[in-house]
Amino acid sequence: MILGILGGALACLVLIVWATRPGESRERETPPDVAASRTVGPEPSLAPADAGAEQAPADPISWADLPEEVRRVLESTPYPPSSGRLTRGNDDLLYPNRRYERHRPIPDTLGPDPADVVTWRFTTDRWSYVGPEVAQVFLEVLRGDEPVAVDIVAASAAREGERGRTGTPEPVAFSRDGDRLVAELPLARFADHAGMILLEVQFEYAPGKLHSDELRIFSTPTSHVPGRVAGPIVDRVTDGSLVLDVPVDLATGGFYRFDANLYDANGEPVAFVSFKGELASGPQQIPLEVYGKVLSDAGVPGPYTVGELRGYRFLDGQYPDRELLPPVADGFSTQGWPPDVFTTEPHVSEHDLRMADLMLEDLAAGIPLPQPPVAQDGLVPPPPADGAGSVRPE
Amino acid sequence: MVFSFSARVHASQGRAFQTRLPSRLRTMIGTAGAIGLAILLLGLVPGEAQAGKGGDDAGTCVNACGGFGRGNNQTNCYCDSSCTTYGDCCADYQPVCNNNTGCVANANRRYVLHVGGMCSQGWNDRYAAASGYTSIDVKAVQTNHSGLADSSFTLGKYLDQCCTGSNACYVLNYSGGDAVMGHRFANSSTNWNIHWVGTSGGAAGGSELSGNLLADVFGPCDYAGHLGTSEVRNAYNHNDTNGKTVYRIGGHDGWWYSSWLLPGEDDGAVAFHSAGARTTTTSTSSMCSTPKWTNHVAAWTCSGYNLDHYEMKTKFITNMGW
Repeated sequence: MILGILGGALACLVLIVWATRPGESRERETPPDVAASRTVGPEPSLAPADAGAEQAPADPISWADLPEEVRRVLESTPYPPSSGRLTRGNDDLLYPNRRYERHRPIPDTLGPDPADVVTWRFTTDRWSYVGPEVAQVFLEVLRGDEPVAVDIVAASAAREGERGRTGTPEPVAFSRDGDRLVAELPLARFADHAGMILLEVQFEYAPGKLHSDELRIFSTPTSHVPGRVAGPIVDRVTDGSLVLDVPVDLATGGFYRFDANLYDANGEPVAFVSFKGELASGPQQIPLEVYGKVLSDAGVPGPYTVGELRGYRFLDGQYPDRELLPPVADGFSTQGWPPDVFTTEPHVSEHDLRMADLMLEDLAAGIPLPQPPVAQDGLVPPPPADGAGSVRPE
Repeated sequence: MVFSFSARVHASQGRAFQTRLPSRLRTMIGTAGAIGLAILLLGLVPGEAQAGKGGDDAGTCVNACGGFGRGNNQTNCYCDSSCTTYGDCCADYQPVCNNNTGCVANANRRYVLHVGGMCSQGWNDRYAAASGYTSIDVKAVQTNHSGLADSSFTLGKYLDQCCTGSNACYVLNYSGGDAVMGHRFANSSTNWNIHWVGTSGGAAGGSELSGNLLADVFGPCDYAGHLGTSEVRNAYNHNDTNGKTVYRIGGHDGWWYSSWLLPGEDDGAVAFHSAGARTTTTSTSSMCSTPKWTNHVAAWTCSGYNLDHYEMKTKFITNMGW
């Protein structure tokens, strides 16, 4: 057996301390000197009591002695899922409510000369809205690179439920704004409708040539807003991690998710952080914990500025599946924490250890634990043509 | 630090699966046929649902147990106890109404969950035959306007039963199943015992084909209009995988009738920006291009495979030798 036998009183003590620490996560510690701690004898398992009905005495092992398959999994994510590094490339997190429509060609105009191809882009200023906001709607049409002065044949916005359009469509009135058409859509028109609003447009881009498109926006009317951020954030460092206590006042209990970004003093992105879980109604603090290694790896000192703080109540299995909290103004800054107050240790959770336990069990039973090779240009061989060979990278 | 791991006896369970053939391709090539075909294949060739009446316009039993199936065409399937007698249950009747996923909870079992694409209730082609593992066809209905919410809810039933306690899983997604898994990760605090997730032709970044180009063509599959880039990319936080690695593969054998709408390389239904987990819809010809959503990586090859979207369906299984 490839697992080294370790343990002894020191191991037992460490294990007991580890297993009885409160909270889900713990830091991974430096592997001990294997020779110094090697011994023989059963150890208590780290697996939770409900993790299996057929538990047998366990063999304690060191980090270094773990099989490569197991170590690879444990080392794959040095941060907990609830926080991580944020860079300029993380557009989806930096601009969490952005739209992604792009110019697309109208099929009838496709031809050998790109200058003759007509493209259109029908979009809005954002994806979601909360309360009586006004959506900005845009239509751009180009022939090659030149704007086309199209005529709007029809444009409307309709409530959409799980069976499609409901209610009477609201007209959408476009006006010209430079090279594009714009329209304002006050969401108050849709009263208490929560969820999707379907926007449709049909336009004439050449005499007798019509094209149409549709898109959706997401609306949480005031009557469905489940709560709000209710005061200034307070920050602290606990167990080597930065915790942002966000005061909220929730009108409705349920499963909530909150997300936010952290920026350094120069406005450069540093970290993302999230919270998700069941919350009761009423005023309370939401702890957004930025795992310390995220910040120590970033190597930039505080103060950090909190941006894009957002949240919603998740409605599992319902449609729409969420109710949004109103957006929160950016600008809260933490204290000027120096990087050395944050832990440098990788994160390992109890769940990670449970998974390792299951993997060791499988290996002992002769069940392989294949992992696909991560692709890197020129480094990973293609899989065998017949698909029957090894899939493990060398 | 010293760790201790328990050693337990593993048990496996055999299970046979039927193979079904595509059934709808022939009907779609008409005035809007080219794009229609592309979009149809995006959802991936619906077939008659296993263990229930389904198809591309099938209802769901989510929030409908005891009566008609829910959805725009609700009466085409049922969620009451007699549906098993009449053979007209919605495809997700067993997992949603009876909590019957085919898995045995907390029984030291190993499962491979297959999460299919939109507008189909089955994996259709074939399942992984991994040593020591039992394959499960996740009956998560992605057909209605509420398709993502419905299917995510149903997938949660499977994950809670198949992948907790002493059980462990691999999850293989295809096309729209990519978003279903991501949505569930982002909106649950349960740490399922998932080794990793594999995704073929993932649609979690949305498709430029979605929108009115498919609305008239796809007809009864309402969910087809909800896989646009803006909607899917804003549907959940794609960076939250509960710490699990999501391995991704993509195809580049795009179809002439749809590829001109998709930026960069594509398989005819989704572009590499989606299959490759890019944080934006930027045109790219490499599955390895970055930045990607956290914990998402390209597997095996950066250049992708010379396969179209439909052919990608079982590529991950083949690559694994399963």
